[in-house]
Amino acid sequence: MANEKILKNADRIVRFICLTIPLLLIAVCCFLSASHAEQILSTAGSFVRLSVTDTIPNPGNNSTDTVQTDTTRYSIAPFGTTYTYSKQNIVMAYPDILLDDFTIHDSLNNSLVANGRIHPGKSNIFNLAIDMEAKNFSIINVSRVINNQLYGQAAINGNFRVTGTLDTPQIAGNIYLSKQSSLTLILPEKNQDMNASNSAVVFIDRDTFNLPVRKITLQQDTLTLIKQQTLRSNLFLNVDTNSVINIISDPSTGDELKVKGNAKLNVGLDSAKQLLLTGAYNLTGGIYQLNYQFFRKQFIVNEGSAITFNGKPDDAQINIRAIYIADTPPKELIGNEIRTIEPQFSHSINQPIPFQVILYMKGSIRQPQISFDIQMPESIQLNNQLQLAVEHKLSQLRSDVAATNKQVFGLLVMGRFVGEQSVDFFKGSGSGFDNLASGGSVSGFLLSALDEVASEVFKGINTDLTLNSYRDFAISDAAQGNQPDVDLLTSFLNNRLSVSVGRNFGIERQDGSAKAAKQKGSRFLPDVTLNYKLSEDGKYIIHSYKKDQLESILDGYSTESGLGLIITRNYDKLKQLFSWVKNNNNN
Amino acid sequence: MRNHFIYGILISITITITGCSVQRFLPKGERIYKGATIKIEKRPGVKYSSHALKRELKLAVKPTANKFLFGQPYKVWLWYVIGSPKKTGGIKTFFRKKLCEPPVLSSKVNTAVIAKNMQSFLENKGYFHSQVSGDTVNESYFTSAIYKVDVYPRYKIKSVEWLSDSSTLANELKEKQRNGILKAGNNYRLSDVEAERDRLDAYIKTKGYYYFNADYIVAYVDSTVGNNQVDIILGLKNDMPDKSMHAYTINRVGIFPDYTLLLPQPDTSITGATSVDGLMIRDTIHQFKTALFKKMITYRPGQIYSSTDQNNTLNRLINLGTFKFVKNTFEVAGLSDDPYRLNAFYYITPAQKKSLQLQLNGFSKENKFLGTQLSLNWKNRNVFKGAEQLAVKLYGGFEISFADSLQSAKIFRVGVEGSLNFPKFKIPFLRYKENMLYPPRTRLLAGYEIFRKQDFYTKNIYRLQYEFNWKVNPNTEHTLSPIALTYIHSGNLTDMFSKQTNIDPVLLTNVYNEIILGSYYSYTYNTANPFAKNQWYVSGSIDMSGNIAGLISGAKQPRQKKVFNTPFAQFSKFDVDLRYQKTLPNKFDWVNRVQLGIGIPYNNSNMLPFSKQYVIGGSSSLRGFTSRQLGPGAYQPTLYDQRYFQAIGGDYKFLFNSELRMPVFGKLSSAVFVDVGNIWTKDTMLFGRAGQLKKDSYKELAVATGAGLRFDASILLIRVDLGIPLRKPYLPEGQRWVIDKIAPGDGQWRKQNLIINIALGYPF
Repeated sequence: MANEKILKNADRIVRFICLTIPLLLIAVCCFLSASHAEQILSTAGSFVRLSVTDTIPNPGNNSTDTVQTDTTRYSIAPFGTTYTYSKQNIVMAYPDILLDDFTIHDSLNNSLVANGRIHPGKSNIFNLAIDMEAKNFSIINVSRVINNQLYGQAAINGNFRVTGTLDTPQIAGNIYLSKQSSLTLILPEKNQDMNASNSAVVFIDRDTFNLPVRKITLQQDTLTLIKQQTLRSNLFLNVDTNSVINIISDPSTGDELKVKGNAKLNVGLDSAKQLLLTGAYNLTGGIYQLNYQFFRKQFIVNEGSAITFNGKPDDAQINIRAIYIADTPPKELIGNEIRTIEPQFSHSINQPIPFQVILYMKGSIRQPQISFDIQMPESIQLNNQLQLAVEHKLSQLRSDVAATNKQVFGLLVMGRFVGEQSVDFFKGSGSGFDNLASGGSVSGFLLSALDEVASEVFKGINTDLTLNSYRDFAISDAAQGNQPDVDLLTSFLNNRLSVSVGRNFGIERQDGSAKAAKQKGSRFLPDVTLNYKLSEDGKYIIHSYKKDQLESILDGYSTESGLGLIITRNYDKLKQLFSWVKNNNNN
Repeated sequence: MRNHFIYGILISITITITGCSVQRFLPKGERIYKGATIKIEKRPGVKYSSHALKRELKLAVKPTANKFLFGQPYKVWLWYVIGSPKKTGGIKTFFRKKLCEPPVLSSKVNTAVIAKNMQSFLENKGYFHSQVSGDTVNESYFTSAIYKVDVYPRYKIKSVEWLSDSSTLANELKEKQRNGILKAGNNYRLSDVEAERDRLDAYIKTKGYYYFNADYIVAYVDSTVGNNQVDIILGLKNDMPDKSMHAYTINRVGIFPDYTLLLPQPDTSITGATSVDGLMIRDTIHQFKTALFKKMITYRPGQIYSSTDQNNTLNRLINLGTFKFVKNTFEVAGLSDDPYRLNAFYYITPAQKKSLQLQLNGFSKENKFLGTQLSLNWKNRNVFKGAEQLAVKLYGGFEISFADSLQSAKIFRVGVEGSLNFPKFKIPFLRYKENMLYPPRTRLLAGYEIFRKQDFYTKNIYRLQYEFNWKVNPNTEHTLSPIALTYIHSGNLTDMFSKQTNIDPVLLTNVYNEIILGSYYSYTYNTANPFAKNQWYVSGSIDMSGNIAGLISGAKQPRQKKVFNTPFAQFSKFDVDLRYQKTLPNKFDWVNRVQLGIGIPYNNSNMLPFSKQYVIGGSSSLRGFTSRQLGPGAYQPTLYDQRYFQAIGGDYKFLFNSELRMPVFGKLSSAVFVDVGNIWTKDTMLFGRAGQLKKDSYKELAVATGAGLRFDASILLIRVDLGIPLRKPYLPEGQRWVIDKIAPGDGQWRKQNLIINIALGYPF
């Protein structure tokens, strides 16, 4: 009987050390909930095999006997790790069970060594006092496969002590993520369609759902305090700058946040065996990789950014500031709001400046809020007047989310500012560019920005009909998961091409609907003129035109189509006109 | 496409022979994604066709698989074979970009999410309870996805109600919704809910609710009422910000007409501004009259905010053409006694006042002439401080034709033209207030041109025009020209031409001195939404000349009465141009045009002036006949006619074109077309009985067909249309159809009947 009891408990103990401990470490290192890890454990029981070499002699009072295990190889499939323990001794020093250098090896022969004493209490309770030492012990080794939420390599170093009982162990100590560790965490894919319908439609059953009574509420501060949960352990997870943690924040596009930093996180479990983490992961560097269709852009994470854990890992708050440098001249940004470009800064306005696009990610790690800012690097010195103008404009942008978003879109997609257009100030339906950052990722931002660009085309067309039919088009497209064609839409923002349809009004204008008409190929309208600016300032223009009704008097009703070159010089005073002639001669 | 196909085959053969496949390049554990299959199972009561449903669900499938040819992802193979380039911009980069595709790996496939997306797509269309499951199947080193779709019947709307809500806003929305898009009996569709929200949003923004947003409206949908029906209860969201609940009144309108970023930013309290008619204008350099802003800004302090006012005003300011940039902001005024007031600001950067432009054009005309023109244009965008535009144009050019009959008929022209353009209805002694989306235009134009037809004659043309042009909304346009005078004086006849007129006095019609005392009105409409499946364009115009002069002078005979010692033209002319384009699946377009013209010369005229005559044939008209080759009526113009007459024209015209445009690949597209039409005269003077319009003139319709290729070089579309006449009206009756005579092998036939039309731009 006693033999069997000890045998059985030896089995429990070996299983505890070989499976529970690694699983707990996995849970700690990849922020899984521990209860989730236990589920895996319960199904994993069958592949632990333990056999005993000798029969166990009768336990005597002071007798010490040794049980030796077989050589066993097992793996924890979801985390891709394979471990072996071979001929390890469990010493029976009645009533205690002693572990003396009980060693598990991972596939690379790195070890986790247990030393300590297990003291049986009443019934089946066993009190633990085990010291463990991990040396580069591998806990995760998963390559990227279908539907996997986590992959990468992780190994740990460190010493920790396990106390408590076999059923409710407590761990204390310091573990360190090893230098080679690189983990990738995929956040759940946001279901665009579901979100879209959620905002417009709520499905209810009136038998069980009370329709809300509308009351006027004042804006409230929605900050919810995260309750401090009691930790039952004193284990610290240490991460240093050598380990890389990737977070794929938008699985549909593969937007990736790759961070490095220092952290000492306190790890514990709550009563429901949920893993709790507290502490700050202070980032020292990293990148935010934007992957959208063919765009690959990197934002460099600033020092001072942090991921703060304050309970459940899901609730981690991120506060990240990352910079993308867009080397572009300020002309597109301010050119429209300056009447004439004075000779004293006509050169520098065309010189590229490394503008900083700053990405802020804040809030819950699962659904971060993103926002942008554009700044001029401090080191840059420009002509006073020009510098003032750029700073005025950037500070104006700061107070206008929509305008900022649009410029960021331009800088990311086209690598230049999208000159603010007068038509931007039309009031259309919907919220426009100010509400884009809801996707939680930069690709999400780009996607909605592109949608918005598409609808911008229709701004200024003031009929209900038009807006609606456009929205229909957009919605059905989005609902079907179709991403707007970047090429098509950016060409709308291309200020170089303008189209005018209809009879001559005697004005040059940018007509959004006409552009769309061109793009869609509905060019069956008569009297269409396409202008393409050869130079940015519009001095040199190529135009093609078709005139159905000629102003000329002699030819009757005859179509004329042609191609032309136009050279234009704008001026206020005659002097300016001649100065241009002079400049050109000098060149 | 063809090239791609060929090189695809070559690669596939290489892959098969060498036996080296993509497999060895793949990362460990990865497979190539081969695409998805959708299997649809319909429950009883589902009416929608599986095929159509499949097509729509296909759009939800992500990612897009690589291109396969004979079971080989040949572009991926190349991608690996070429390898990653060491530097960007090199030849490797170019080939990789042009010919290759990065592999779409199985790890990118997430069938669960796609299935969920498909399911919500079905839900969004009203197929509630439908189930979609996704799975992957591995085969060799490929993975395919399979989606099984179980479709349940579609839900209809049983009732549409509003949540009880006492706010004015909710009541206004409720009132407007009553005859909206969501109606009992319709199918439930999320897109309808969205469209209704947008419609209500657009409406409520014209009623002062500046801060409203479509997203504040929520639809509670109860799908448990049974019988495949839903009840929709519309309401406002509880977390809607307070400021969106209220209608705003305009508190102040501030205008900075000389705004620039280069100077310290003006403060919004507008110190030192002039108050005019309720508008605060701070103009430091007095470049614009205050009356201009009074006219352009369609609202005043005290009025309820409306997005229509905002958009109209902005559009009017932009379309003046004298401002470079107009920025418009609205801010809460922040008054303690009335928090719901807005201040509007206009920051206006004027464009430079004058411009000088040199323009060189090359062109081709329907009437077989190729030409070039050089012009020098000068413009002042703000002549009288009210955004009036003064333009002066000097031009000169020549036109030549390669047609045999027109060899010595080179045309030279030199002219000058001045125009003054007011951004309002400029009518003496009349004040007119309007608030249209575009400022109306009044144009005064005077022009003089010397026109020399080499080997024939010279004409001096004087023009005077007074014209109004206005647009009430973006897709309609009106032009009214109460005065459009043209005076043509001919001279310098060559000896050759003089001699010819002695032989054939009818040629003198070419060199008649004539005055056209015209008035003109035209209206155009086009479908505003370029994405609409059915696009319309309608243009109608009335052109009259000499009706009053004729009445006063009592003219009865052609060229009997004179004004300024010159016979005046007397006619009425009516034109209709109707175009219709239907977008078909697979980027096909079906485009149609009908042109109908009726010109009635009377009393003092027996034919329309040459400039007003209708012509037919050519690359944008009847493409189986070149211009000057057809009509009028059953008449066949001789080479003599083509040489000596300014135009082979008529007083009546009918033309119908129908064309199917099909994409080929890239920027190349093709078309097949049928053209039907002809012209006729009222009088027998020029072309005798054959050209005259008679009761049975429909028997004289010409018919042509053909096919064409078009290359769209973005700024320019180059078109080659090959036309073949099917019906020649100038042949004896009964032999006019020539379909049976088509003989492509016969060189003679080809020479006479294959008409190659090379042109820029679409024909219509």
